[in-house]
Amino acid sequence: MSQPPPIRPRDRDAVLQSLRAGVVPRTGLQHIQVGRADEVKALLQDLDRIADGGAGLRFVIGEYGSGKTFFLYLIRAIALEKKLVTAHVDLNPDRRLYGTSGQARSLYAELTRTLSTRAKPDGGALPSVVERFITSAVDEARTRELKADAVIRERLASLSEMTGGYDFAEVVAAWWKGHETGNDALQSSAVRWLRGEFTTKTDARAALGVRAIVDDDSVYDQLKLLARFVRLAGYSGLLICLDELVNLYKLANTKARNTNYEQILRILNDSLQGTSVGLGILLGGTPEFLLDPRKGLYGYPALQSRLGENTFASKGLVDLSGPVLRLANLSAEDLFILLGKLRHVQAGGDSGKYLVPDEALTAFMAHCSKRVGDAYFRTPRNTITAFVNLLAVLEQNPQASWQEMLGATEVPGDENPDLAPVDAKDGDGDSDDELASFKL
Amino acid sequence: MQLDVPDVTAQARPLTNLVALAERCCDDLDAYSRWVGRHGETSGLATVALLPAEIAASHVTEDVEALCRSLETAIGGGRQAVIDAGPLIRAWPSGTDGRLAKADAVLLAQALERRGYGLEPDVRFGGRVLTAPGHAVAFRLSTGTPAAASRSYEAATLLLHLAAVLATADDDVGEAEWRHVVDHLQAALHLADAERSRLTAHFTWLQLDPPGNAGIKKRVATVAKVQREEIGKFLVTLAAADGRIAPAEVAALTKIYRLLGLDPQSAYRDVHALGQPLHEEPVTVRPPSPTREFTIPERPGAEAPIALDMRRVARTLANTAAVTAILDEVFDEDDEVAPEARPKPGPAATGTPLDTRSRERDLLRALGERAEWSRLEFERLAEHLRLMPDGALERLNEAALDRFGAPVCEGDDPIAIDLTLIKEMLA
Repeated sequence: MSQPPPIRPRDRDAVLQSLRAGVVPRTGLQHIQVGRADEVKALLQDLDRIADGGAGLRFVIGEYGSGKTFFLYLIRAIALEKKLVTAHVDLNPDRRLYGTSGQARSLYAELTRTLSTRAKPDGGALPSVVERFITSAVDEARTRELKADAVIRERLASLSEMTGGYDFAEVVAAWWKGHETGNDALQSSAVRWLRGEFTTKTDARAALGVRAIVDDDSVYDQLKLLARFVRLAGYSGLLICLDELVNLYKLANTKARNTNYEQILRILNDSLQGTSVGLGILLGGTPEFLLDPRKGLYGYPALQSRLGENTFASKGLVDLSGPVLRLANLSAEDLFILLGKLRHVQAGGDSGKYLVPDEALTAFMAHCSKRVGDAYFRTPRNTITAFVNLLAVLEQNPQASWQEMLGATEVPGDENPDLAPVDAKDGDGDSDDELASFKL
Repeated sequence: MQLDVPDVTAQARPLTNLVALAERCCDDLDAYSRWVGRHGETSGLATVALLPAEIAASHVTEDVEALCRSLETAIGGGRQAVIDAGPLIRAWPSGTDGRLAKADAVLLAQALERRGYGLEPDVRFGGRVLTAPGHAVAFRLSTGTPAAASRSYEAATLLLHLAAVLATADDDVGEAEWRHVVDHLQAALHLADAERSRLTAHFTWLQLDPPGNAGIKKRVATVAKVQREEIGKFLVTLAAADGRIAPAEVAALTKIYRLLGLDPQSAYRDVHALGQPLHEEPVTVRPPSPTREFTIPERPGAEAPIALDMRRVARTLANTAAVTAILDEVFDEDDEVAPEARPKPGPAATGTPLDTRSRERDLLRALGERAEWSRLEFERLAEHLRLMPDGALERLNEAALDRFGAPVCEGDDPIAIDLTLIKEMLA
């Protein structure tokens, strides 16, 4: 059997450097993926469906330390390879699906900042996408001897029947006009509008002549527009990843929480009924976000029935076609395999260059277990960082033995930030219960 | 007249023995005589309950016989039968108003026991006093029936009690759920046969007359934490036995976890852990073993190795090989993607006019002169060629990725150029 292909240096470096910093790598994830073949297959089918003009909504549910963020990043990387445009945001108290003081608009703005394409995978790809569209429209205009403006509007005509579609087309046209006439202010206003950075309609009208802006109420409509637009620009569709949905769960104000869940329901209905095109949304959350019958999705009646079709392990089979996908925490065996993969990446894919033998892997695990107990594989972030650091040290000190270096390896405990005490100022019951506060 | 027999009363030892015998007989009759004294009458059932078996056997009364006949009919060929508690209560002398004192409930159960029938609920085994309207479950007793609950039995009734609370949260007690409980009972609890019959009867009764949460806290306090956690996990698998866990069941589980003195959040973790896709083997849920003494496991010593389940490792490796194959296909940059396999582009990305392509080639040629350009320089270059800078970069990189699996320009400011790739693109 031939050697598996070597690992590209850029992937190797991305993986090792990111993991040493304690963050999920952006590329090279495929080299350290352990198991979850069925889940990846299911998401691949989702992405193919989106690329075909369909839509989808998935909940990716996992506990802290289960590799949920890694999984979302992996799916994002696959989506980019399949020529989808992606965007990703972590929710927080100021970034929600629905709000009344700009929290949803803030989510949208951040999403557009992280817009990525395969050619521009680190975010900031909004201008690339828009200019790609415009360039092709301009070319067509030349061929047909029409004004570019007319072709742009013609191509975007299908958007005008959608909410906000007419203004969207106007803004793209303004982008072109600004570029063509050297009017930087106009062009940058167009960028700002598409990024959701206008806060008043008056300003938008003055700058661009449009009546509407992206605000809390229109975020989801705007995302649907974007999805259609990227397809018109030559991409397959749009994948949005929203993580840390636990922030909705933590909203103290019931009404705020429910309006956010209402938005989720709306997105779910649209994807099932086929009214959104080329838009995929992944929502990452923890088990209590899903299951809590009072504050979680299970507590929202209209969602219950749609989500209640979770089939549990009966007769060894689980249905992955429903919207909920569960990720288990890693087991010790999973971690063992992961460490082997890290060793393989560090060696650039050449097993002749492994820095440590198999028994070093189990010895390392025993070492970690002594220090932090079972947490070493349940919440393995620090274990992984420590191992990658160990390999780096061994690489720099070829004369050292792994046994000596192992003894000196530090493995700090990993704390779940959700369990940290809530800041007084995070309590947002005050800011969105829509009551004025005053002192006598 | 003089008789030629010894005077028994003159002898001390036989007298002592006779007195002792007489006292024992009085003791044995004491309970019954007190009962008669209190109630002013005799009763068939009380007789059976309180008189020594030797005497009771000869005091057969019609009411007792009738009761036993009706129980026999009800149970028939089976092991147990559900009966209406009302007539049973009224069969007891002081139960004519449909209510039974605790002491009387004990006596009733005792009476039936002596005639070979067990009853649930039975106060002596942690059950409630019979009430009317209500149900009772009668079952046949085998010999060697214990007269009080063992620790295992206590833990088992606690588990069943909570299982009944859970079962009612899903509206119908499904066949699957019932089977799950019974299977568990038979396999794991190390109960004596007689205890098992009683437990089955108790569960049947629990489903008909759910007792609510009264008294659970007290019973929970006697169960060790690790057993409580196992009870919790068992109940989670019970809820999932019919293939789904409804929101109402999740709500019931969090309540139950709280009653068990466990963190309700761990209920979500345990439910979540249950819903994992399995690879080949079903996960064995280790059932609670109330007979096991709880000891704190020793911390692994300095030399303790990690014990890995190598079968699981093998399964995961196979699964990992499968996912790697899938991912390699997605990320493979060596093969050119066949045209029909490419995701269909949107309607506008067709037919780039010659002059744009030629201008983009000019851009490539210009970029190929240096390995690095500042953003400003790049924008000027693009402007000079009447190209939109970000659009041009996007199109060039897309083309390079499609053909060679790598972008030709990287970074925002400065922009790094892959000179080798440019040569290939221009070739």
